[in-house]
Amino acid sequence: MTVIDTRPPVATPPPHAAPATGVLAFLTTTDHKRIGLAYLVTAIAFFLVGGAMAGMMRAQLAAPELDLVGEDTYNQLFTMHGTVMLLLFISPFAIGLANYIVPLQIGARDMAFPRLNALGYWLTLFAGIVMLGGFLTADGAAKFGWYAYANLTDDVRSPGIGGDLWIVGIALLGLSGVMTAVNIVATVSRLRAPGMTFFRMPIFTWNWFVTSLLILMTFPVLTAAGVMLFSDRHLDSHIFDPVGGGYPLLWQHLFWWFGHPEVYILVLPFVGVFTEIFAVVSRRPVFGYKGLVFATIAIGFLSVGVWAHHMFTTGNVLLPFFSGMTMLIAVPTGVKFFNWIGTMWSGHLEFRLPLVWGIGFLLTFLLGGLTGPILAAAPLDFHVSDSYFVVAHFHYVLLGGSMFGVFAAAYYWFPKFTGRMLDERLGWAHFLMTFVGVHLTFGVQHVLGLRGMPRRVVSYLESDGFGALNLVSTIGAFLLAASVVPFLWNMWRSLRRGARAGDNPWDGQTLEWWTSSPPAPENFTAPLPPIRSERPVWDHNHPDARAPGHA
Amino acid sequence: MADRRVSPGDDVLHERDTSTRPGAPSMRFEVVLFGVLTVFLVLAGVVYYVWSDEWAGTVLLVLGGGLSGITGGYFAFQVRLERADVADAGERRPEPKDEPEPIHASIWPLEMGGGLTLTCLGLVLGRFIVLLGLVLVVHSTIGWIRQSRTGH
Repeated sequence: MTVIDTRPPVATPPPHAAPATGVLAFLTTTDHKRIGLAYLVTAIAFFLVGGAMAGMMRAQLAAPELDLVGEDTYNQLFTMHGTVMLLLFISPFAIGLANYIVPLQIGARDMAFPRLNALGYWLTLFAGIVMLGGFLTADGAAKFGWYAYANLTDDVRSPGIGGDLWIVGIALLGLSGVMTAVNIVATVSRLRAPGMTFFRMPIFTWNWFVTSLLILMTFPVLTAAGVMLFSDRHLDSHIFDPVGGGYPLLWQHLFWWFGHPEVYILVLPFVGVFTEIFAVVSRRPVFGYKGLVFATIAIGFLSVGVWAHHMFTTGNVLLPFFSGMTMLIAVPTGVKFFNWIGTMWSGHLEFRLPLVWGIGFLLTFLLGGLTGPILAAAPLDFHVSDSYFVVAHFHYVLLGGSMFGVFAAAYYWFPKFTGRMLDERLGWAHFLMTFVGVHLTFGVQHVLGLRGMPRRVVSYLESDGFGALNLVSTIGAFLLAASVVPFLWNMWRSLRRGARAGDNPWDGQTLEWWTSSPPAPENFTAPLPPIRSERPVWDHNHPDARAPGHA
Repeated sequence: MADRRVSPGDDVLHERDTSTRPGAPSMRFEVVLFGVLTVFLVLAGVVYYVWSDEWAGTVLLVLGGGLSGITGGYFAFQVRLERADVADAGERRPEPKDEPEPIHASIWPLEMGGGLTLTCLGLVLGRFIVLLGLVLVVHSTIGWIRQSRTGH
């Protein structure tokens, strides 16, 4: 100690004063903002991979009896497309936003467990690489569909290590998700700034809190199911194998216990994004804040009671229970629509890009939501289950609810991440191509499904009469694929040449707009404003604004 | 003014151990939330069992309730500790705990992530990879814990 004391002060920098730079900084970072950005960039990379697979499938289906990709490859493509898009694109993107935004919104300087956070990121990245690595093996990647029904997955019907790599990836992703959820629950309950009560938290943070609860209830079951499947394949355990006294439907129960709440895990964070955006662009507080929060909690609770509506056609589930619960969940979702419209009603709307994506979301997600109760009604479900109607339904929900949210969040928070605005004209091009692309691709699939086209078929006959609508769908998909060009170009160009954003370009309401863009290493350099409502920054910037309704 | 004003920025910026401070987030809300969730899941489990006589879903619902009950119980326990702390403090507020310097960089998450991945991957590809993975997991765990104690 004395040795150190005798040194000149310049020679004794305090520990960690000189942070590592370059690659090493990235590999060792525990900063929630860097980890958040790493998640976002990784997610977009996986989005491009999953999109390429979708493009190949749509090319194969463009006309009857094409043979662009073989049957085996096609099975791999639809399996990995689903897996990549749900578990490696939307989910990590939402987690990346949570990492970046949640600590800022509650006035904390980092997440509660920074290193656990980093571990979660690395596991996600490695799991993705492991799963996609299946394409490099002799038998190809997993090909039993993204929900991997027993007994398609046993070692007789799916030999080869692609399936095993998929299981490993699922187990690692489950672990990573649980770590993130624990971290968010701990952060939200312990690191809120003084004055930030639960009912003053921004809706995005609220939704992530509820999402974390869902992750905690469901991801462990997914990982456990993966372990059981692995032991069935390698240790002869016959858990899902009827020959050895096992129960194949058990897999479906376990998988959908995870799988249905997963939809809400993918949608709720983005619903939170839109709520923030609607309030900010309308220059009003969120309409019916508490009602919205309780609707979110209700969705969270109900979503664990609906899993078997994916299993109606097994003939082995309690139809009224699951039908009823599923229809019930439409009620809080409707409440949310009411709140969003109420927020924008008589607001001072400014048609900037985040709002434009928001309107795209309202229209698309509403259509996806409306086909939900149709499928929840068992008598209808029996007719359209496993048809393209279902494909259309969940693509409307997930593209409308999540992918539009991804882009809305990108346009809304890019200025905070980088200090630069994204270009409006390129943004409009991106939006129009995406919006038209989504509705062209998936709108016609409703009709295809009702006419009896089954999902997951590699081809169809001329005489089936599916050709014309499939061609329309494929054209839409290519338009959708092309829409990433203006998006990526916009990102790339705006990083260096975008207009300076300043700290608070949207006249935001929540604490992330209080700090600099991009935020300083420990987030806030100035004291926080007093937190007396759910929009402290607005209160500070508009001291003369009156209560809701007078804004 | 009903609310506590945030006076020194320092208070906000260095909020780590907030359990004994005025204005610190209380966890009573969490107790209620997890409590209601527990009751909901267990009730749903009972209704589901009686109605359907199907055991997979029943087990999932009831165990989900159990998990939520454990979490809620932990929060309830923390709230009790918090109250005891405040009562004890009386005149003299307890000194803030000696927090180690927050960790700004760590190689251990990367190594542990790699180790866990190799361990699982080894089960598919070959035993020696499992061994390598386990070595990395153990090594990084030691490093991780040591870093928690010393700060680097």
